[in-house]
Amino acid sequence: MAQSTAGTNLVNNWHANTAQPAVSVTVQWDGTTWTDETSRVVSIEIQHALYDVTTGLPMLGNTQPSQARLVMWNADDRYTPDNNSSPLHTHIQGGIYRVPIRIDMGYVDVVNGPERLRQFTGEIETASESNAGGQKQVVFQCVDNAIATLQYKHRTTMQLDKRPDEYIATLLTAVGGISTNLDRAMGVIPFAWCDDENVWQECQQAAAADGGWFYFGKDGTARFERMTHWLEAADHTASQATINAARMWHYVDEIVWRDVYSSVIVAYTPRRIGPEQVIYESDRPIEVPPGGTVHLTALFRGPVASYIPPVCYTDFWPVTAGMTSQSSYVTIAVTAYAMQADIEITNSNGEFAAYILDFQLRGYLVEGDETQEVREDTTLDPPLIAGKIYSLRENDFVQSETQAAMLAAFLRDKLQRPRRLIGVQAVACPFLELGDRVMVQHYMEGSAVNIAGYVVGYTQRYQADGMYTMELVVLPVDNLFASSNYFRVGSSAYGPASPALFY
Amino acid sequence: MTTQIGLSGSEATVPDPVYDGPYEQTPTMIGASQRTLDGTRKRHIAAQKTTWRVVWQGLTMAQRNAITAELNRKSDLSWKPPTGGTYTVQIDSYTVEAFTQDTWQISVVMEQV
Repeated sequence: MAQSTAGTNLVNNWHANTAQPAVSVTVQWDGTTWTDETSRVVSIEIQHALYDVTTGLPMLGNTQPSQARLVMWNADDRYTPDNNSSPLHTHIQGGIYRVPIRIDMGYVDVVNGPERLRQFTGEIETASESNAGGQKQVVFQCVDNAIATLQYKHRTTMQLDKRPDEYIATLLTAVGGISTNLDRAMGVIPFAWCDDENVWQECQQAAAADGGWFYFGKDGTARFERMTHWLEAADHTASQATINAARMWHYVDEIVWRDVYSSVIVAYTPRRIGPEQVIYESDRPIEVPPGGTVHLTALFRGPVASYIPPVCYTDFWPVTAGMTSQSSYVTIAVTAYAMQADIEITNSNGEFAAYILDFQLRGYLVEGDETQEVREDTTLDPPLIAGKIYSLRENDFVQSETQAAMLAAFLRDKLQRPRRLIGVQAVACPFLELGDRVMVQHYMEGSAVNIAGYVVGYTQRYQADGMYTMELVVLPVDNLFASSNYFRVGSSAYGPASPALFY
Repeated sequence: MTTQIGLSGSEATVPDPVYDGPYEQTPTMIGASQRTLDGTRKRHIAAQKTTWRVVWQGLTMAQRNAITAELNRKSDLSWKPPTGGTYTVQIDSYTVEAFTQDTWQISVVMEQV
């Protein structure tokens, strides 16, 4: 959604014929204090995108983290780790990596002074120095707040009947320090779990299983937007900015056939909780020294809905070397996840070692049935294309026919027609965000043609002594949704709009 | 009028430059512009800065040396032009020439930081 411009004149100033860009770059070198580095900025490029040539339409579920590239003046070696006299030396002597950075940009108002909005929140991932002809510069390559999820491996317990937004919230809470803005999802995932997997990919998959998308906004907030998101908020139903011939200098209109399909097949694998069975067996006796504790990780035979706490003489036999029972001395603590458990065995006998024989864990495996498919064919007659099938098979979170049917119908509607993509280069409009509706106005045979569309790509460029510009990729609204009430309950017969149809 | 140039806080007082001819003070908009599809000129300005072209004539050897000592510093200089105000400047270039048999002329181009 577009950023708030309340209290500013940015709505008028962004397209003024003469404008003064206002920039602020702050970096948290010490992890707590924001340091202003603006005076050293040579150039900035920020890329936000829900669409690119490799990921396709956003509703296919694969978004990329936003990135920023800053060229900084470094004639005094401020950003050089080897420079012992740099005021930053304490913080950068080991190199610049994962340092929080914020970029605010806007324009100077004649009355209010600089009016800036947050354009990027993330971390510096790499800093490369260059010295060409005595001109020393450093290039900061930055990744938005997704960087924390990209590097975080997480394991969960089995999450039963959770909506994707609930599951995403669980994962992001585990990562920590991430604010969220998550739509209530349309459906539920019967069984969701994470086993030392990448949280970013898990969130992407969970969002895609609901026909939505997951990304981080300019302000660093994690966002899940459900499939009907663009039909709901004012930022998507009313134009937030008009890009006309007096504001842009480049216009490209492309019809993209790459994402056109005659049919969509969505595979789903039903899962159910199986009978009680052994989910882990130790392949050797476990020795616990006198008064000692042993830690081990038990990898289960498969995903487990729940486990049964181990019972002495059923799941393990604690004895001394002389086979005397140690049951009154041995305790076992289990911290179980969906695919593994951390096990802590303590022997309180200070004189004799305990040997844990035939240790096992019992529980309830989540078993998968045969994979099924839901197929939706184009409703266009005649079809625009024949025999080209989009197959969604690799999403483990699609487990029910309801999910698959919803996704297949949704994707069929999106993919059965070619999509136009409008590209414009114009003066930068700093309050636009991904998904915002804009009006692109171009001229054909002397007449103005208005095209309403959603911003699916947004690149900003700024030169310290040059222009502050933007490059938009706009996905036209026409035919993207069959109706303005698409998949929404309550817009007509059911009263006020409600959260979810498929539940 | 007092004209000074040099490191901030320790500027050298120098003779007033020639003020009726070659002295130039040029305010410049730093930025860039682009013509849009309908021909509108969009201009983004980073700041307004001033460039000076200053000529001293009839300098003694001592005066010449005092000025060039300041101009040779490899750092930003403080400039108090005869028209008033104080600016931080960088020297783009300067030329020292014989003016008469015993005097010198210095021409400087400097730009506000």
